[in-house]
This record gives sequence, C-alpha cells and structure tokens, in this order.
Amino acid sequence: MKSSKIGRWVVAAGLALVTLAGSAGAAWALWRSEISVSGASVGVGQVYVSLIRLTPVVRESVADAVTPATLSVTSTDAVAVSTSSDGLAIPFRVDVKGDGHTGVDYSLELPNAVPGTVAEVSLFYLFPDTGTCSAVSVPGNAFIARPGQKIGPFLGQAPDTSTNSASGTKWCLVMRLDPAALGEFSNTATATATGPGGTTVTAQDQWWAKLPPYNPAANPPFDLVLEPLFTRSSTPARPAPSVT
Amino acid sequence: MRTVTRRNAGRLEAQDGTQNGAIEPAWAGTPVRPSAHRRLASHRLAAIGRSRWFVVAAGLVAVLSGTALVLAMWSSSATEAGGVITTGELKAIAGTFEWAETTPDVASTARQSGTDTASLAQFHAMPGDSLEIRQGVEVKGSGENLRFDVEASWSGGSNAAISPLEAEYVVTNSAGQILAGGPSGVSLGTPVQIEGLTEGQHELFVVVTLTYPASSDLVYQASAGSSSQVASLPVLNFAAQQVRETS
Repeated sequence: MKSSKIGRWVVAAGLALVTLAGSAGAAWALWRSEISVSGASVGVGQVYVSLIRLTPVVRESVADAVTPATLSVTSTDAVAVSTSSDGLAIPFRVDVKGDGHTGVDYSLELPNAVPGTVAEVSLFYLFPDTGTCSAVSVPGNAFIARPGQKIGPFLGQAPDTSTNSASGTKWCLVMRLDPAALGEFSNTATATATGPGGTTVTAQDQWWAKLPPYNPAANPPFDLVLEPLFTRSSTPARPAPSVT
Repeated sequence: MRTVTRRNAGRLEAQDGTQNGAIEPAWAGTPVRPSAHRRLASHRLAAIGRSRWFVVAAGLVAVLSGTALVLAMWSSSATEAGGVITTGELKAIAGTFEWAETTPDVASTARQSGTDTASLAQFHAMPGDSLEIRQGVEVKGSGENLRFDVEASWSGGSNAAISPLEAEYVVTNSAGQILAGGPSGVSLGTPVQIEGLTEGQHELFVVVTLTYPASSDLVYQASAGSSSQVASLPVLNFAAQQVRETS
C-alpha cells in the first residue's frame, strides 16, 4: 500500500516536470546531423643555399641562419697559385632556392686573410663560368677583389611563386698572386777587369725577383664565404653588383 | 492507403468527403410484440403468484429492447490516399572549398588562390605569408516550432599541429557576417557554437585564417629538391542539432 503511494507521487512529479519544461523555455534535441571535412594541408616553404666547389667537388649547404657556406682554398691550392704566373682557377656553383614569395640574392665575401699567407698577397678574379674556367683567360669585365672585400649582390632566384626548385649559377674564381703585394728582391753585380793592353773592362748585371713571404705548403685554409640575402617582392630593388 | 472507420449516430461520412446517405444499419432492432406466452400467462395470473415476476421481467426486456433501438450504431468505412506526415528534417552537407592568399606585402595580382585542396597543398607558405581558407557548409532544417544550433570543432589537432603556421577561424553566413568566433577569431581546435538558427536553409562558411609570422626562422633544406614539409589542418567537424523551441 505504501509503495503504491510512492509510485503515484513519482509519476505525478514526472508529469509536473515535463509540463514545466514545456512551458518554461526548455529545449531538447530532436535531430542531429554531422559532417567532417578533412584533407586540407598547406606546404611549408623552405630555402636552400649551397656552395659547391666543382674541382674537386666539395659541397657546403647552409643549415641555419648562423653558419654560412664556404669554399676553402687549401694549402694545395696555395702551392698551385705560387707556382703559376697565371694563378689558379677554381670553378664553383651557387645553388639557391626560395619557396613561395621568397627570393634569394647573394654576395661572395673574401674575409681578411691571415698575414703571411697566399691569400694575403693574391688578387681574386670572379666571372661567370660559361664553359671553361681557366686562369689563362680572365675576361676584362671580371670582378677583381682582395681579401676583406665583398662582391655582389647577385640574383639567385627571384621572389615569385613560379619556381620551387633550386637555381644554379656557375662561377669561375681565379686566384692570382698580386705583384704589388709581393716582397721584391734585387741584386746588381758589377765586375771590373783590366785587360792585357791595360784596357779596363767593366760588366754589370742585375736580377730581381718578387717572392711571396710565406711557405705555401703550410698555408692555413682561406674561405670564400657565400652570404645569402632573402628577398620578398617588397624588398627594394637590388643594386648592380660591385666590389665593396 | 489507409482505412478510416467512423461511427456516428444515424449518419456516416466517408473520410474522402463523399456522403453515403442513408446507409442500411448494420444491425437494427425490431419492436418486440407481446408474445403468445404473455397472453396465456394473463389468464392464469390469479392462480399462479410467482408468474407476476415473470411479467415484470418480460416488461423490462421490452423496455430495454426499445432503448436499444435509439442507441443503434452506424458503421462504415472508406479508403483514402495516404498523406505524408511531416516531422521535420535536418541536413548538413559540405559545401564549396576555396582558398586565397592575403599576404599583405604581395600585390593582389600576384596572390595565389584556388578552389580545391590539391592547389592549396601546392602553395608554399613562407614567413610573412597569410591565407584565408573558406569551407562552406549547407545546413537545412525544417519543422514546426523548431530551431537549430550548429557547432564547429576540430579533431586531431590544434594550432600546434600546423606549426610553424598559426590559425584562427570564424563562422560566417553567406554575406560574410560573422556568426561565431568573432571578431578576431578563435584558435584552431576551439569549438564554437551558433544558436538559434531559424528554420530553412543556411549557407555557412568556416573561414580559417592561416598566418606564417614574418619573424619566424626560415626552414633550411639540407639538399636540393622539392619541399616536403606540410602543415595539415585538423579535421573539421560540423554538427547541426535541431531542438524544440518553446517559450
């Protein structure tokens, strides 16, 4: 008997709640429809900067904004430069890539050389390698620089979205001893003699030489440094390349 | 087809509206006449006392029989074409997809755009770039005294999933009016809700703004070739829920 009363109260309370819910602004779900949309992804653009010596092949790629790519002139190169009046020709290539709206310009920097090294007394001739990189045939319009100077800027890749692969430019670097920077040695010999007839004979000769004040085989490496400059279409126009 | 049966007192109308007129009753009472048994009993009434109760009972039967005539029921049936019972509906379907570059330092003529996800994947975002992605969602709801709510959410990721890019989104209507997430947008992964859409069809857009901060470090490739790094947006879940509207 008692439980049946409780049951009636439960039913009554439930009805009252439903009534209240219906009249007090409550809402309850009727239908639900769901969709999922997936598959959208965006490419994250990257850059690539590499300096490749072609003979022998040595590639240096830039891995971050701090560590540059360099081309090393070794002690073997120093010897080659010292033993040839034409100097040494080093072919190399610069590969760059800037995705999306990012372009890449670059300059080539010749750091200050260690005193008493081949680099200190050398001139550097830079010109585009059109097929034959030779120290014998340096074009008249080649850039001529010394250690401590920079050559550029050069266009690597324009800041447009049409190209997302690397662009390469071949260069020829000729390293030649600078006569003005070499030590000059001269010697004059005079010989005087009196002949049988009492005739005095005098002969004179002299020689001179410019000798590099170093030992090429013991030269530390000298680096040609590639300095990239990333551009946007809003970047001011690139000036004509020069030696600074 | 369904059959409708209606009982009326005295007249029947078919459900299809035609009148059947005077239809013969299915069952009709006949007046009860005094029986021969009743006449014989009256002659013996004085001799047999308990026969009075029999007469009373017979009279009651006669009265009751007369009442039954008055309460006679009519029954008939007619068939009509079945009607459609509309209980409301709710649909959400994916609409158009489009994207457009909004990079501020790029001339409008040089900005990229597309209408499919494949072209978006080919775009290479660099520091300083920004994009706007619009995913249309059509929501249609119908029903009496109904309204519906929608919710946009993301599964499987948030802004961290698309690093180094950053994203915010809003939900707009077809006129570009922000309905949720505004005015500056909410981070990817944060659900938003639009409540109280009215009955009918609504074309909504989930607008995602992707930004690659200009101050970000460049990503250097170790070797030449196409870039392989991508930022994948999480899955967009769009749910519409119809609710009973009461006041």
